[in-house]
Amino acid sequence: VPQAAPEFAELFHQHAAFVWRALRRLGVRERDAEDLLQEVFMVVHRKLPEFAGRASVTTWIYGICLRKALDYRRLARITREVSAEQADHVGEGRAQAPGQERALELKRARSRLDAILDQLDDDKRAVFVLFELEGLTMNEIAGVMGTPVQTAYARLYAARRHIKQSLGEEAGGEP
Amino acid sequence: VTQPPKRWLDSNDESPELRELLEAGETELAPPEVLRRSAGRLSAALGVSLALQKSAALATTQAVSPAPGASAAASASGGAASTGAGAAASAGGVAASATGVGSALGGLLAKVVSAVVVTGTAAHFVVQSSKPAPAATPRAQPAIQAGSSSSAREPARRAPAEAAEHGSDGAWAAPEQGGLSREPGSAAAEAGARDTSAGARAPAHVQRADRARASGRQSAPSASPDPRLLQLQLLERAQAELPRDPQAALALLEEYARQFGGETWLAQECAALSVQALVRSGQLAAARQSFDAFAARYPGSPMLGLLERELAARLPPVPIDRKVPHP
Repeated sequence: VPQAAPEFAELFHQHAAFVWRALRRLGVRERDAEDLLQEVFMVVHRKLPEFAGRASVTTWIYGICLRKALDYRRLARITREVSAEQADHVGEGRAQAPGQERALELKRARSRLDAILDQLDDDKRAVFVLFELEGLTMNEIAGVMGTPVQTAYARLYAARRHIKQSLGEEAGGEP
Repeated sequence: VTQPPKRWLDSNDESPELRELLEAGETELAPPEVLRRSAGRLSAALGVSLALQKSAALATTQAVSPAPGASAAASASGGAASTGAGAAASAGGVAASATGVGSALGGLLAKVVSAVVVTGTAAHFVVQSSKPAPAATPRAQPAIQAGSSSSAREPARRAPAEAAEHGSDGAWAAPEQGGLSREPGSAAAEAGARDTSAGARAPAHVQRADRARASGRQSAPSASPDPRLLQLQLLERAQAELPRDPQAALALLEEYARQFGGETWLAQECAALSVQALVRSGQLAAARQSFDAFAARYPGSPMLGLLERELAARLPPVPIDRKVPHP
């Protein structure tokens, strides 16, 4: 049964924070994520009247988000630059609250995660991020990416293998 | 038949190192100021209101963890209620009427942020009135924050806390009136402490905000009003003056620049208002200059088109025989 078209304001308030996060994990630089967030919701607004409810709103928005992120990465060709930028930010330690140590830990961990994700190709990265971090089902991901679900599975498993291998190599490389 | 894989974060088999990375990635949400700016620019560009009308989610916050400060904020008295940790703001209070360029841009400042409710990791600007601030009231952390990462994974019971953490003003998590019908659990966020029936689950991102809490994002108590409130109030006054007295609006914008400089979080909105005020006060050459500066500084701004149209509507048409073709 098609869902009723949701209100744009509700969509923004419910999803914007998570779209931003997905954009970041999909390889959009922090300084560009805000612009892309707006672009995503400009598209959402434009296409909302056409939203037929065949997919969930979440899936639909993530689909737009994914396409924007992929376009961004293709155009900007920034894969390596992203890693460098993130590495630069690791030591910033701008948090001034008592919990700054924890905040810094998280920031380091995110930079490390993004650096590992940067090693994946865009398709594997997208599947991994949408499944492991955004919590979409594999069927939803297949719908978002326009691939058979088995292809999505294959990409997920390949991404997982790569990530475990990367972590193993990091650990092995430590003195 | 392919067995659906289990998310690594839902599995206990993965290494702590891997879990830490994934949890860090999952718990990062957009900074509230990014969301606020985006809401403002989208409102201006699209001519739609992104303001939610009621503070139902704020009531949710109180249901989870009643707080005098939060109550004060929820009341019409407004004011700053700093209730604990966090220093950021997450107001989506941007309303733009669709009656024209000016009002659309004016929507950026249509409401005055007057109360700050800090819960968990973020301070939520609650769009209310602009009355004096009551004293800050410290508040204990919600008991739910004590939950561990794994136990906190259990669904919708925790959704209200998510609403509290990520948008007590209805900004980012909790639907206002029924919300979307995509997943039954999404209603849990609006229902406060309502018990959830079996099978209901919050959206994935709502379910897992517990990790944000479990990851221990903490920040310092904030007892003094955010200076951004003052900036917003001043800019709101300028916006209010714009239709009736553009010169007064300009004077207020100059005052803003004197007080806060040109690199504030509202710099773009300030510059856009300045263009409008110059146009409306008939200072077209200066308006053109300001517009060019705006376009150079914010080439991707959604407000560009609006300003361009407003400027074009006031500029005298260029006689055809004086047009210079582009090289």
